[in-house]
Amino acid sequence: MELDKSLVSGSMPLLVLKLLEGGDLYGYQMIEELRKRSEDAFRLKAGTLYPLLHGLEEKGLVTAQERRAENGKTRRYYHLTDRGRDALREKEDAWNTYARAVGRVLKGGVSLA
Amino acid sequence: MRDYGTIQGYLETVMEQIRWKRARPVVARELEQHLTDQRDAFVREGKPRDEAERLAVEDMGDPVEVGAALDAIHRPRPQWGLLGLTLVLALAGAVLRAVFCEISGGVNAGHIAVPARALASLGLGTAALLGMYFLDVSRLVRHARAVYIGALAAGLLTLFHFPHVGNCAYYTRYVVLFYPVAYALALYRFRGKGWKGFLLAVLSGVPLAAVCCLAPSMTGLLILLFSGLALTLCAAGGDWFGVGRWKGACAALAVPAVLLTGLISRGYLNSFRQRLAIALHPEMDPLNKGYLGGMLQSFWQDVPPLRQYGSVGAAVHAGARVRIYTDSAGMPGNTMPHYYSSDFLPASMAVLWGWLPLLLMLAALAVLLVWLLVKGLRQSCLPGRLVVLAVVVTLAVQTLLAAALNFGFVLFSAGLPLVVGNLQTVVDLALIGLALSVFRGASIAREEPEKPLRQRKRLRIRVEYQ
Repeated sequence: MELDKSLVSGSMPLLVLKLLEGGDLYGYQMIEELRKRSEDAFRLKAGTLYPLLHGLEEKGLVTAQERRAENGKTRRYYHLTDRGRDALREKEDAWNTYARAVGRVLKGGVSLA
Repeated sequence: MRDYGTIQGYLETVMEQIRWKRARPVVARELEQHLTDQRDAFVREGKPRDEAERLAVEDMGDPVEVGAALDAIHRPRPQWGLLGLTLVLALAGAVLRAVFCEISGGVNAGHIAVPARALASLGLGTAALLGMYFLDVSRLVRHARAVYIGALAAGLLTLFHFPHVGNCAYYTRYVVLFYPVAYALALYRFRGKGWKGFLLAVLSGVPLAAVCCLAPSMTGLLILLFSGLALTLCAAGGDWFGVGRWKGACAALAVPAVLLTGLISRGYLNSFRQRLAIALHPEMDPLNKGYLGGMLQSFWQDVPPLRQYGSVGAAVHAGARVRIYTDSAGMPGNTMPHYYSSDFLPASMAVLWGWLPLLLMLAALAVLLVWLLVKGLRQSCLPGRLVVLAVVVTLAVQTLLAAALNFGFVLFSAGLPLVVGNLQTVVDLALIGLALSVFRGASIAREEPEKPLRQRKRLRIRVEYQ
């Protein structure tokens, strides 16, 4: 089942920050990792990812450094900063609150009690 | 019609959406890396190369939308606040130099900042500030070795082929103010080179320090030592050498410790202690050279916060006193001035107008330096951070030494940045412009990847026995 894009786009910064929590990654790795971890549910377009990453870098949530990848080619690795880690916690909390609320509504319907 | 099906065509369309030309190659490089990775992945899946490239481009998304999104992020960051504060201070400095030229009676015009010179230095300095502001610092970083050699060559050239004033290489004193920045860029060359890189980084400061000693410019040497320590610590903090943060920091601190131990063992500590004691108590100087310091310290005893408008007589009287003349021996006996030293312009200003205007000027200078430092330390790109740190330390040491000098603690000669000295103002404005260009181009600042260490070639001789 194809996911509604609007459902995904709002949570992209959270997902990207979460991926970087596990270690430094470059753009292509992030897309692949996201696809694997979501079991093919999230197929992020690279054209969406890079403006997002550059925006996060601008806000100081991630830093980037060019390094040589295992294949010997130069790649731009992104690293989660301390500010980024704090932002991730906040976004996780907000997401969990939102998900619980949506879940309650979907399960229980309207309560007139 | 452009072919979006190729990587080149796609990148050209994305780049056309980005208005800041300097950002284009930086952004294109990363997108190209991604597209080639994706294309190679499709090729590995068994797709023909042309189709793989087309699919990789399709996977990337609409190039116009992508370009527009990147354009919104990658814009130059104008530094209006810092530019404004710097220019206001420089303008105030130029006016002060012109005013105090008038007060001092225009004696010996060869050494006094005449109004025309002050205005010319302001114009030239503004041009230097803006020239550096629009400069692409990443180019300097890429050509760090050339910058270092150029700075060293300029120092040697002015040292041996330009006029000396009072046994001092006049222009070398100003060239050495660029040395901390040259050293900051030189540090970039030693990234990831381990202890060998650290040692080379320390040694690369030696030729620069030698030029300072030959000039001689003790202020320049002090600035270089302090900035060298700050820069090496900052680089070690970012594990620039790849030896570990703490080990790098300890090694950076060990260098001045070794240097100090060497100086103490050679008996320099006693002479410095003596010099410091005389700076604090100029009347104790056995050679009677403490006249200048004593006179300056006595000034401050009756300087009011603000001299009242109308007490012109007092001001004129004070104005006469603020003509701080020194002769080569600093002796009080010779009442005829040999030259008026503009280094004492801040003290002159305080005596004439009260200490509050001077305090305001020093506060504005402190705000500028702290603003530069805070912004500089926030830079994610280490070379940019190092360049800003070099500029701030240069200006801060100048300020501290100038303040000490003007309060009568005569240790080293130094002019207050942006206020004292025409040529020094031009140099200081150029340095500030360089720091501002780092902030302006922060969104596209990139650290070059480490170069792999060269493989050692080993000659293997195989002896075969038959």
